[in-house]
Amino acid sequence: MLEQQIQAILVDVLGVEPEEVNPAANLVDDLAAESIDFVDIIYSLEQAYQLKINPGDIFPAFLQQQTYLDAEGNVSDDTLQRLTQEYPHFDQACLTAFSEHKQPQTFFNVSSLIDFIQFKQAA
Amino acid sequence: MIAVTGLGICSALGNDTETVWSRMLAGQTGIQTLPPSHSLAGHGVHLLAQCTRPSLQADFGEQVPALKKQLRHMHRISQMLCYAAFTALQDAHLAHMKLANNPRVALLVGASSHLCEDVTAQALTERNPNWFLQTYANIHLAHLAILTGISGPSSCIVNACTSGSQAIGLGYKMLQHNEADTVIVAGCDSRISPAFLSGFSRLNMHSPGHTLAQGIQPFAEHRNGFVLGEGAGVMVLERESHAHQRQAKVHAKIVGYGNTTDAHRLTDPSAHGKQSAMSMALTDAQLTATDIQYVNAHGTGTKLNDRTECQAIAQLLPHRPKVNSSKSLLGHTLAASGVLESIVCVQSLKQQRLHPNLNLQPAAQDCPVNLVGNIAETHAMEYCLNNSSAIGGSNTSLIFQRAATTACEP
Repeated sequence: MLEQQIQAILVDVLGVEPEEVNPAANLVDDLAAESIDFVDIIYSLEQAYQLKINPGDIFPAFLQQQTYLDAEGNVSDDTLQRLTQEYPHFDQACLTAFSEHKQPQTFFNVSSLIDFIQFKQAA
Repeated sequence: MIAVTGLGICSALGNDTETVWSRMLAGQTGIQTLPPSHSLAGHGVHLLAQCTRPSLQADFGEQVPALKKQLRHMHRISQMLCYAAFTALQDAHLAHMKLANNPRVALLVGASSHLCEDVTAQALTERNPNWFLQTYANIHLAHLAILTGISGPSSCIVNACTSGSQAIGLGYKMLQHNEADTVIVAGCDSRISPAFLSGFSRLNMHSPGHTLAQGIQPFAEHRNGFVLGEGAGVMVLERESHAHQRQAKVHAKIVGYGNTTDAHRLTDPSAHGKQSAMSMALTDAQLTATDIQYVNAHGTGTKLNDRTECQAIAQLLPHRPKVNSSKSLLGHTLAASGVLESIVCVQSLKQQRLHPNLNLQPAAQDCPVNLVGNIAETHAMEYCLNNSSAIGGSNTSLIFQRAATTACEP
């Protein structure tokens, strides 16, 4: 149900076909979202779920502004700690995938939106 | 010589050049009465020339894959501009893919700012943050650039009712100076909203008339202001040699441009400024006054504009060329008007026909020019002149030459 609602929002905002929107689809690489679209998506989620969402609440934008790797080239403990504390909607599988691929794009998936709303609704 | 090789239009009389032109020749007007129950009623305006919204998706969706997403962010002004532009490119036989990533293709758009009244009922914090993009006058140009891939020089000209004609004039100059090979020039505007209707009405610029006959009456004794229209016009310009090289058909040529500023008063026009613009265009074209056989006047149907413009025409062009105003048919399309009325000039030259002046009787004593009557006329023309003027005292004059009768450039 939630997945379908979010799919409908993304179809509307991004002008994509419903079958393109699956939880694993990357918003930037697969669905061609640009910066203004993220503003639009967040606004649509606020309206649909009566939420106030601040910039950086859903996606860890800080990863694009600072180094997140330690001296060995692994995701640093500080980074993982911050992700766990500030982004509780990301599950362990998601954090493990980030640790493996070391790409912030890992988080910019449709599933991040679903997880965020689920987390907020459960809170 | 600068050639006009493509035309595109969105107006209250239709969204393709030939339909609009045949309706104009038939004396049809795009102005309609606004019923008292209408949501826009109550602001002192009872007549409007509104467009039938063109469908970009239906007519050009296949050519432009990104359209669906972008349409969501496009105001009706952007949609009209893009529709007219795709039509003009089609007319010029220029696939927009050929224009993409070419620094020798330029884009100049005359536009206005608008007041985003569709969101003013919402608190600032409740609005979709994207609303703010609509406050930028160049947003329409940006949409067109993204859809076409035009990536050479571009500029948005915001100069009230001379915005569109200045886009043409500056595009013509760019080509003369070899700063581009192709220039897409445009004008687009729609200010049909409560604040604008009230503003135009309370400054006594808009006609208070309730019926078509009481509405815009350019050059008539009882004229009482313009009727607001909306629309977009686009022309594809290129040097004549470039047009011939790619075997493009040439609709007409632009041979002169003048642009002056009254430096007089904010809202009172000056005959001197209008005359200077026409004189500058004649000098630029290396023509004499008697070469002009037709003037498409600014002709807003306000007391002062028509009086001063007719004084200027009578003084500078005493051989009495034919004069008409397209605004009784299309309404006043503001920033778009210079381009829409230049398209009228091109069509007039091509077919050697002049559209009628509506609501002319009785003609005013203070408009001593040779007016086209209430039916279309056949008229031999080699050159014609298009005037535009704007609040604040800006004046432009463009001179067009018939394409068919002159030798081609090598």
